[in-house]
Amino acid sequence: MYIKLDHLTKQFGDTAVLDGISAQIQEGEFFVLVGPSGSGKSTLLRIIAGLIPASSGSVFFDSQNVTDLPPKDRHLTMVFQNYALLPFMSVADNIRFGLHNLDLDATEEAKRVNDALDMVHLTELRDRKPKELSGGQQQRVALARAIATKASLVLMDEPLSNLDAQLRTEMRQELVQLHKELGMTLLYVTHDQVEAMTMGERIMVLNDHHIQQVGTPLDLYNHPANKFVATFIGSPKMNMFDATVDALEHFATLELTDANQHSVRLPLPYDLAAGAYQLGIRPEKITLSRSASAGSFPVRVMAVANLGRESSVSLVNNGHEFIASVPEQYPVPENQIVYATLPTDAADLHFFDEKSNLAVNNKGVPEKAGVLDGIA
Amino acid sequence: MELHKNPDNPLLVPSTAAASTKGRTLRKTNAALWFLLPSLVILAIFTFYPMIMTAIESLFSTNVRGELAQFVGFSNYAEIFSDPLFLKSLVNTFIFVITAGLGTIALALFLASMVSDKLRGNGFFRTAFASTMGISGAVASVLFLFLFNPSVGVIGLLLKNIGVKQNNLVADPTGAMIILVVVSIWMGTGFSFLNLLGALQSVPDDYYAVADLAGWSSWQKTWKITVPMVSPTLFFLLVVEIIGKFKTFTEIDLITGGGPDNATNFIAYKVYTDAFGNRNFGIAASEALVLTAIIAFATWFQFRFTERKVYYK
Repeated sequence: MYIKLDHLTKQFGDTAVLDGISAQIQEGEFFVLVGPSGSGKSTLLRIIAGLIPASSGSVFFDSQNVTDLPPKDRHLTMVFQNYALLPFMSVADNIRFGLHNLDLDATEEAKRVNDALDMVHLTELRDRKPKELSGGQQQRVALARAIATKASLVLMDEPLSNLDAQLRTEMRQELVQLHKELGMTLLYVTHDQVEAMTMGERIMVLNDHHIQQVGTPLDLYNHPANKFVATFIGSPKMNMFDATVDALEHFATLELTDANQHSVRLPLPYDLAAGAYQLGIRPEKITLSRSASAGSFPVRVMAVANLGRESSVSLVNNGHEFIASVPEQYPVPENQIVYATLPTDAADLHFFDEKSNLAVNNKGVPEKAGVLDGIA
Repeated sequence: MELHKNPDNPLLVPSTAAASTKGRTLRKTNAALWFLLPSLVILAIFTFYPMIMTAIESLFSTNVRGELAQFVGFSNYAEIFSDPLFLKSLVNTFIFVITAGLGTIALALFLASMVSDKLRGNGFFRTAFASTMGISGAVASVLFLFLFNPSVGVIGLLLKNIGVKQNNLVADPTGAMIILVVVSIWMGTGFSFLNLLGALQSVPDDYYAVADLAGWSSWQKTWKITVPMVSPTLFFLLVVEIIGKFKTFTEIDLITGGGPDNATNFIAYKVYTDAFGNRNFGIAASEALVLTAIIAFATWFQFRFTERKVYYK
């Protein structure tokens, strides 16, 4: 099922929760809505489900305007964060509960329940009550209830948030696999950018009631449309530096100092209008070495988080803190002075307009293209 | 040596670990008893002793001061069960308990589901519906006595105006019963309402979302989700309300005095009139024990047959 959101807004009293949300989701797409708590992503999902009405705007499924249709007539199903399994019903009854308006005959209904249970490997637990299952098993029952409806649109609201880290990683794989097998359109809400990046075919980043950017995971990572997306996607998050570009000079002057207490200057990869910018650089693009070299500047090591195959090194220079990711174990003690080198490649330097926080293109003009992606 | 005898020291007497556990349990029990002592003393004086005395008294005839006169075995019981007044009282008590008890819970459930949504203005209704909890039975009785008064009461006059000939309900056997049921429901609703409101609000919204997506109707959602989810509270209220209604006294004493024609002379009230009106303490004691047995049976019955349908988390 193909979905079009057309200028949706939602207000609770005087508070705007969603403002001007327009997007298209392709048939069979694994589409992730990601954003921090309170960004309105669950509200958007519930508007699409018909569980709460939009204040204005329309929702289209294929070419049908479903804005005023009740949930039961939208032919979709939903998986909730707390699973929403009725505690007094068995696993099988909970799955059957979701099939009510399909008017199936008893044979077909039983087959749907059995097939769904089989698919999530819970056949032998069909007569258990939810409280007799582990969190992961309850999650699978909730999935089975959705699968059994054979709806062509499945909405998931933070379905993995209540699972422990290891199980969550496993379930991510399973969900992706399940989506491949069944081919339904899947709208997936999460606050976890790692989940969004690893699962989504396309991602919509929501913040502050607005769409920040829509795109593939690598689009968002490599070409963030604004400062919010730049720092929200990626872990550890992108470093931001104050940068000044002077007229006639092809350098950005940063508020960092080299060994001679001079400001660090970075050759511009493309022309930028003179002015103040925010320069975003991913932690893995900053290289560290024990000895000084051309273009490097000294930094003090504040802390090292060793993750085994890589390390996040917190650094400070001239009162500015930032992080470098090193693709190896990094046994350097705190307060040691090491030397950092910033990248020079255009693709690794993200300049953002100081006022609008939008990414600037290589002409130095704030770019809205990334934001507009996905709008009809 | 003293230490070796101490069963509480597992290092010194490793072979008697079981005895050590036993000793600790015993000490815990001792401590618990001390904490319980104040309530045990109060219960013993004001509950257990009167209960035992009532049981003994029911086997005796008594003098007007209530002192035991002569052992009569079970003849007090034989007497009350051959007394048509007692049997009538029994029947009327059941009618009252069932209508008032179920009425209270039904009204409370209705009101609670009306105001459980987070809508503006619901706070006022929640307070209003719960407010009857803070009103004494005596005040409520007088209030309703006025309301039902045929010449000055709002309800009395209303009945007259819509053409009810017998608008003096207190003087009518059925009318008196109706008044008591109404007052009893009104009095009991606040407590049941608050409990049910709490239970309703703890039902996760997502259950209803699942039901909405699957196309269940409002009525089906009530029976398939709400009632099972609040069933522990409903069951608790059923037991508490039924016991409470059996013990109704103040309202009868102030509104009907058991009349007219003993129509509202329920057992609890009859115990009182037989003891302190007729000064027939032996008879009253045996009636009180019959009431106790009925309440105990009703409670057991509810646990046995209703609790099966109750879902506990």
